[in-house]
Amino acid sequence: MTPVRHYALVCGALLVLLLLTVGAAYVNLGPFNVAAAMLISLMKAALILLFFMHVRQAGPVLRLFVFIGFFWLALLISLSLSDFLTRGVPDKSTADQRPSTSGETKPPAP
Amino acid sequence: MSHPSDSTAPPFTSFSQQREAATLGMWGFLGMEVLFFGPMFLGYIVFRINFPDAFMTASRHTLILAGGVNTALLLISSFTMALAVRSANLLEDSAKVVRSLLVTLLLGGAFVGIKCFEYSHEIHEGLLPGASFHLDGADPQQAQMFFYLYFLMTGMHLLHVIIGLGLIAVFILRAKLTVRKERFSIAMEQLGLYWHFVDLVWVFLFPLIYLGGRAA
Amino acid sequence: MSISTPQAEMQPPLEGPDYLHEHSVRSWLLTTDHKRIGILYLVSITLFFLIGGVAVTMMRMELLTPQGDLFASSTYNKLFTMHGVIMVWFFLIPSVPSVLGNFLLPMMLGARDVAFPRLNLLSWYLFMAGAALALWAIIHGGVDTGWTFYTPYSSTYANGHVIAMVMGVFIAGFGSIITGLNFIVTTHKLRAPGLIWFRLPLFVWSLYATSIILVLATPVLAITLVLVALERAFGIGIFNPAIGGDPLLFQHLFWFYSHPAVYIMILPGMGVTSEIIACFARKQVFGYRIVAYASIAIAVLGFLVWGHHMFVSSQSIYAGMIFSLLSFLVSIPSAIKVFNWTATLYRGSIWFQTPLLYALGFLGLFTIGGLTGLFLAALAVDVHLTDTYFVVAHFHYIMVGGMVMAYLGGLHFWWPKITGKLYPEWPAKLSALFIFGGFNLTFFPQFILGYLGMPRRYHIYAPEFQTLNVLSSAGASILAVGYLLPLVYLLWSLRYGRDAGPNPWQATGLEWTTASPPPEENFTIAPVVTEDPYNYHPTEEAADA
Repeated sequence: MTPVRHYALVCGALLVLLLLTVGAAYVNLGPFNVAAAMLISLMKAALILLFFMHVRQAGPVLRLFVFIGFFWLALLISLSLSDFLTRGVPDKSTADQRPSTSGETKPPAP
Repeated sequence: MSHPSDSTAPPFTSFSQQREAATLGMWGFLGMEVLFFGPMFLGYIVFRINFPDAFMTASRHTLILAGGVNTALLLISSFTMALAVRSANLLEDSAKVVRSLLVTLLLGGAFVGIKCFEYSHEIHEGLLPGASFHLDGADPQQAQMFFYLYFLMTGMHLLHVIIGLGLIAVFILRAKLTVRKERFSIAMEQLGLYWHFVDLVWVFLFPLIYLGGRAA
Repeated sequence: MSISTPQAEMQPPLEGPDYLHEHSVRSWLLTTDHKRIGILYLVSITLFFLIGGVAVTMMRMELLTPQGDLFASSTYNKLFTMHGVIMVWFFLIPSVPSVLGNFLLPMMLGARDVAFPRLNLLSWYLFMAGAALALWAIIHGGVDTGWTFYTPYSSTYANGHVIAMVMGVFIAGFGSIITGLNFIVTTHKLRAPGLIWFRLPLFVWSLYATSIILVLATPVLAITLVLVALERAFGIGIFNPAIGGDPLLFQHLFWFYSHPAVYIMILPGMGVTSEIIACFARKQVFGYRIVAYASIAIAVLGFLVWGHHMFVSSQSIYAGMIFSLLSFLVSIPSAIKVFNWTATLYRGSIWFQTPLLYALGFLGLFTIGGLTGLFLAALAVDVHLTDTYFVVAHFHYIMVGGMVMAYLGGLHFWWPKITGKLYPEWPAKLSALFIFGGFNLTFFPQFILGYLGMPRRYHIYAPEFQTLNVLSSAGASILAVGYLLPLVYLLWSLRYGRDAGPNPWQATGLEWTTASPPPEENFTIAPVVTEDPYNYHPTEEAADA
């Protein structure tokens, strides 16, 4: 059985990370603000999962179960973003042939 | 030590089998929950990419102090929940379990109170999406999208907190009444996992909602 | 006949009452027995199948002529929505998993029940509550969005009870999630001694793969439908382009569920087919491990292909190419299964009983459905075929030709176990032939119609399409007879059927070692598994032995 002291240490670490993430948000890091915030969140999540939720003591099947939920979410997000991030990237071969004004000439209906 | 009526639930034949099955089922359920919250996070990511400036401006209108205090409350409540689960697993005197659960209940209740205060503040400021929505310094439509997601995601999280508090209340009664300690400890472990998961969701919600655009 | 070795010793003859001995309504509505819950599902989904069938009967009648003679456009829209919603969520998804799966999974594992029996009952109540809400929406004016609920039409413009309908699907969805969780935990924790993973029947593997999808895909649909309902109720949401939202986000989320859901509607059918083919070819399944892995592979790969439903939406071309490529991957495990079933039949001692007829029908129709799926996964071809009858024909070949055939095959195969009675063989064979013939006559013309450009979801069409539509409607009436026949003779067999005995097919699974119908606790002596599955010995070998 995990000693109470361990749980207290984890809780303390979580609170320190909370202060750290709030502090980091007020320093202008440009695009790295989000990265820092997410990194700290991942660390907090890891602490909660490993110690509070006992994944550290878990067997392989249980670890697989833990992993799969997050992995599937990653699939959902990354494959969806493969659309959202590549929209409106101009395709040169067709862009050149398109009429420059949209006034009179309408593209044929799909 | 074990009470005679403290037997496994059918169809299980041993406590260890029942415990493993319950934990496996709970993790399956939590995997399901990840994908229940997931689409809202995807929506947040997509619209933050589409409307970066409005999201930063809107984010600054959230109450960071309230959000920060709430994060701390949830984290500490996870700690007290872990203690409750530990006491139950040691088959200790139920008073210890009840005490830890009561503290958890109070911390969670405080979270709900602060969240409601935030909501009322935001509604008062005209940040509730709808006809009366207004926010200076950003495209109102885009900022409205931020606050729609804000109310949606924190609202869905709050619903989970409230369900958790209801369960904790039930478990306090159960801890006081039950003589079937082994079976109770199995159930307590699942309650703990659920409560930590609610905490986990908030750990990601907090920076996305409250911390954007603070440095600018 | 040939010899077979069951996976465990036969149980002693049953002396006490079987699981059906109680008859009160209360004993059914409060049961936690997985077998009785399976039967509750059987009765409910049969009812929904009839309701969905009535809707499509009216549609096929309307489509006999190119003009709109029977219904207004809005009525026709409501009919196909009703058909789609009921057949997908209230018939196909629960068909094999919730009926046959509930009944058989614990028995195949040598267990007394599923891991969480009370949750199992709750899942049926959630299913029925969801169905009641959906039926309420249909009775009070219906919904005309199609089963896909595309935004912004569903969230902003559609008339009718969209909110009630999507909430009905939402509630029923949690029923499937619970069933999936239950199956997963049961398979992990309640296998009989000696029943290692690679001794599990392939039906169990396919149920496990299905459960993965049920648990991981359904929540995405659930929250998406909540978002649609909120958007409709308050006019604000992330799917409404008028206020900066993105309707394609809905399509991504919807198909993240609904494409894997197609595999919910075929994987369990594949499992049933594996069982039937092994039994009636009296042979081990060719490449057992590969078939088992293929089930898992289909479940996983099925999550990576949803964008092929969106090729002609404004999805980026780049994403379209990725999804097209990934879609072709799914054909690999599916093809492996088809080849392995064929190889199992090869040089088997084939025993032409009704279940095998259904399984062979499955094999042929699924192959056509799967191959036409490849046409649709190809980007350029899909641009021409999107939203035509080609798509309708394709997915009916999978979902009706595949899954309903397998469901009926499984129902015949395990009917003696469920009820203790044998069904009459000749009407059963006749119904299998009616369904196979009627199905092809109904849906093959639709491939041609689609290729020629007839769009789906219209009831007024160009006159040159009439001949093929009449053929299709004629086929549908044969199909209807084929579906009604089992309803008659299966009910007839309850009273007049011959007693089946514990193992009428000389099959090898654990479920056949116990009495028919089984006792409430399934096995009077806890089974110990000593054999691999499908230990059939073809006649020649048996003669040698």
